[in-house]
Amino acid sequence: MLKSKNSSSFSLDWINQIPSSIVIIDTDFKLISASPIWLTNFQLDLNTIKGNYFIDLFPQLSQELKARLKYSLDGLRDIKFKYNAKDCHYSSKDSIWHFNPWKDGYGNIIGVIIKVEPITKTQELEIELNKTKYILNEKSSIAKIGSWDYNIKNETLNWSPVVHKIFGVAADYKPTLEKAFNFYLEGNCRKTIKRSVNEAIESGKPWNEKLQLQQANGTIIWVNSIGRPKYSNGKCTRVIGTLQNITDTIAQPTVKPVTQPNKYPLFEKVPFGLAIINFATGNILDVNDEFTKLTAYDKEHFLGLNFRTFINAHIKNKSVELKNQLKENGSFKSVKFVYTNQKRHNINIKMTGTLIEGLSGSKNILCTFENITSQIKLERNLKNTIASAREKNEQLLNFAHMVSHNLKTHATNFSLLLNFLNDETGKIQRSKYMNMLFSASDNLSETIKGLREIVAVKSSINEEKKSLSLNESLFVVEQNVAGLLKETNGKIINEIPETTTVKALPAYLNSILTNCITNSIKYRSEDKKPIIILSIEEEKNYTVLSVEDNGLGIDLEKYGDQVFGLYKTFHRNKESRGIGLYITKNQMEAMNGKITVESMPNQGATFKFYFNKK
Amino acid sequence: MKKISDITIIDDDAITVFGLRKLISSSIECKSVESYGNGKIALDAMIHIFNNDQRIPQIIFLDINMPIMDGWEFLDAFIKIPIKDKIRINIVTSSIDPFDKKQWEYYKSKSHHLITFNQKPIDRNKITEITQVA
Repeated sequence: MLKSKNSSSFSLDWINQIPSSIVIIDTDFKLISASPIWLTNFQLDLNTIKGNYFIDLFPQLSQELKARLKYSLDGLRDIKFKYNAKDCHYSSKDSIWHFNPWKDGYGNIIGVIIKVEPITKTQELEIELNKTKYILNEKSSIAKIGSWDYNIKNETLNWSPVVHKIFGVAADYKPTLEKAFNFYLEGNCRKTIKRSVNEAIESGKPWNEKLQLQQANGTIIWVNSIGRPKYSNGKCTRVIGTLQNITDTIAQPTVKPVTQPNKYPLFEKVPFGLAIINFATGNILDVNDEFTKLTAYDKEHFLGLNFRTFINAHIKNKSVELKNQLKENGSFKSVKFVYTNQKRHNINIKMTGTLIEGLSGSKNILCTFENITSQIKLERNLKNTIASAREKNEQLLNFAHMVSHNLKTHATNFSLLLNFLNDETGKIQRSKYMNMLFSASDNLSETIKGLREIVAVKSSINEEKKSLSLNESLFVVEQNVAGLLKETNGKIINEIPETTTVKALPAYLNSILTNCITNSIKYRSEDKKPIIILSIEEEKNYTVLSVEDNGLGIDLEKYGDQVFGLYKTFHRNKESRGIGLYITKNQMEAMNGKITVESMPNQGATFKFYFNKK
Repeated sequence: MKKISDITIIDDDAITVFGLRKLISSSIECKSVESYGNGKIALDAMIHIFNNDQRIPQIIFLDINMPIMDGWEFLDAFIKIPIKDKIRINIVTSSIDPFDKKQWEYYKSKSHHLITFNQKPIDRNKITEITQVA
């Protein structure tokens, strides 16, 4: 009959019936019972070993077994141990031992159950691997690990010398739990350690946290704090643990990236940049690969960087606003900004952010970064298209107004004159009306000719441009205006180099030059002989023809927006500027060029014609 | 009906001027009808008349689309001349551009003169109606 300290006696008969290999050990490491299969496995007789120290059965393994039994009694579940047959004389087969706490009906740990299972190759490898890792970890960090022990009843905290060193205090420093807490950085770190200790005492939960603390001399370091509660008579009486300075490993920040993806399994799988930021400190905790691709910086560039600085560098003083939005709504509205990455590429970024529960309950911000550069480009193209469509629409409306206005004027004149003619019997008067009707008819033809020219420009946009010698074209035009020049004593000064060519449609170039030169003559100063100077400037994309005159000039402040517009009087007065410049502008634009004017009243005008080189 | 002494036509279209003159002479008794080819010539004449304390024409027919100075520019300058009498200004146009209608409303509200907006053509009845002293 067996007795446990905390429970009334109970039967262990069930162990005889179970089909697996099990052995039960009490809190003093004494063997209580074993299943028949276990006994067969190890070729032992229950009667001879019952009540013996379990460890004594496996003297070669005593150290390893002892440690595992202790942990198990502390409440740690499923501790694995690989049993090598060659080390012992009881069994011929390798096996895996699973250590688990044995609890009574009240949840008190009253011993350890070890289940022995045959080993598979993968399990073996797994265990080997863990072992290697463990050994490596131990080796690399052994010098920096310190242990501590907190007695709940006495509220005393004992530190090993290494812990003193980690906290940066003298060896005679007397720690208390409260003092220890205050070394941890205010905010998440301190909250986490306090909560971990409380949970360990109250619900037996062990912890393993990476935290930041400030040493006595002010240096901030990363530590790995591990702790677990110790039970005595089913009550937690002590909390023991270790503390390790892991600043060096954190500095090449591998720790966070390893832990974070577990928390956010899609972190690396989404097709846009992600960053996790500590809400309280604003430090960037982690970024995903997509983010590093976007920025062209290494991950290390961002880790520990302050997010506020990052934001304010791109959108002035935006961080405060974003923080307020996060506080109020738990997220902020998408923000767009231009980011210059490591490769000096400007990319348009759309950023959104949401508050999330981080590891160990701290508040983090999860930000998404989307490259919307191509989107922005499309948007811009669309806007341009809309703008040009709007302009075309406006032109059409102007055109409609103009056509209607001009034709109506002629119709009115015709009807007026015909009425007079009808009422008139006098021969001389009648012939006078007839003459007026002819001139009205001429005007109408002139108007229609003008309208046709406009339509022609608009419909010949797809014709091929040719490389034309500017001087040759000019020569033809000069012949045409020779009469006009002679009449006004005008003079053309040609400074265009012989070799200059422009890409243009021949008919347009002729029309443009003719229009420009006749305008300069038409709008000459009354007291000056007209002088027209033609010259060339080469620009990157354009060959620019300047035509400068000493004529009346144009009050651009007053007429600036009308100079190249459709002026409604063009049909009526031969001296009016009207349609000519409108057609010239359209012709230049049809050839992917442009036209500008500089002028002051009474100080002449300079028209510049930009011929596109392509 | 009060007798009209002076009428002015400001229009660059010879046929329109001729037609208006003919309509006026056949339906209204009037001492003199002057005409100007654009706003600038007309404005210079008006300023000259005003400065010499002569009488500003009681009725002005004003075209809008003219070279050098158009009807609106003329009107803008004309209403700034401190003329005490109320002048009748008949705008005569074939424009259907809503902008011109707006301009008319703007100047109508800004001046103490009587400004009317008339679409071409103007017939005999219309001319009698709009050729009355303001």
